Amino acid sequence: MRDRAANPRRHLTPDEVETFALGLPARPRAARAHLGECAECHREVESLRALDEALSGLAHPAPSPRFAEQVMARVSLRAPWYARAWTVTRERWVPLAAASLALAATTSLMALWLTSQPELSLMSLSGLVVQQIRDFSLQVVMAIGSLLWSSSALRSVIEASERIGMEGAILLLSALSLVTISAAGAMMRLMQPAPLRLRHAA
Amino acid sequence: MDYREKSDPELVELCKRADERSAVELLRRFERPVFSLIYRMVRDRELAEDLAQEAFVRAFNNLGRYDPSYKFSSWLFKVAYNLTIDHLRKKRLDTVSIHGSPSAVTAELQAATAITVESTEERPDDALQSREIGSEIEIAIGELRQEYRSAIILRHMEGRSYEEIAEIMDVPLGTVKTYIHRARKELQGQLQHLLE
Repeated sequence: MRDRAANPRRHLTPDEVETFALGLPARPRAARAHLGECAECHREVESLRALDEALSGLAHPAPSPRFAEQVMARVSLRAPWYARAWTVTRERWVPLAAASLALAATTSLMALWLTSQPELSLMSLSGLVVQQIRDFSLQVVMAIGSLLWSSSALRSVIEASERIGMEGAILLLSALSLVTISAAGAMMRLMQPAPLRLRHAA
Repeated sequence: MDYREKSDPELVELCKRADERSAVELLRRFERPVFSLIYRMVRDRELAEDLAQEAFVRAFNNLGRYDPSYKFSSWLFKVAYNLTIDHLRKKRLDTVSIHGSPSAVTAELQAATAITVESTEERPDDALQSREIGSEIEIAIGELRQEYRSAIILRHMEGRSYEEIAEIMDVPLGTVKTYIHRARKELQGQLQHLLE
């Protein structure tokens, strides 16, 4: 701008021509004054304005109608697991809460029963598995033990398991395992995102 | 939730959380501009559609690499531009342009790198496609050098700033100005009878 102040007769620079032709905000007064007097610069501005109008007026060719669908068929958006879990929890909290409750209840019952059966660790076939389950279960029991102990629920479970015997206990354990697996399966299915309906693209 | 009312950054954030409807909305917003840019660069509808499709797929599948400090549209145009340029480079690997090196921005450099080994006359099917796109203006745009054509489309049809164009084309700002200035001069020369 100092140049223009020093030499007001200097022709507009390409940037200045563009500023006037495209109606951009920064249009300095000195350059405007020159434009009012200079036929050559005025012609340049008008020529660029006409070119811009011609170019910006051209239509955008459209892709085929199935374009969006074809793109989306190839796109695999992956959110972080915590974001997916949060979205699903917000959208399907009722069935998810029910499944979680069932899972927690059966796990707790299994844990309580296992802790009441120390002789299970001697079973040759499933001894190792049971031992691992017991270790894990002990941790769960530690967390909820004090609460249940106060209501003497644990003692009731131990007494009940002593009454039903080993065969009954194994049957009960199998049933509880089935419920646990089903609840876990239900939770996994619920975590899947809803299928995309491409009619939103229309 | 009305996705049409959401801004581009909001839609991108939703996309990152695997919300596919936000991806569909972004597609709806940018399919025409991206397709148009590619179509005008390659002048072949089927190829343009394939490249545009690939550009969107790459953009959506690589959203993790997107830097939100840039406009999403600029990033998308950059993906589309790079893809198209790569394709054109592969296609022309065994030919040499009479315009000289694409990186030559001065007349001297162009003259130094120019080799006359093939004609730049439009093939009949290319000319037909130009007519299909539209008017005499489209034909004039099609005759511009590739870099000039991309720059002028981004500036005058997409309304991108010089800085954005430099980012999209991955060239210095001064080079963008040179491309656009020269493209304008060529178009003004060819379309003088229409612009007066």
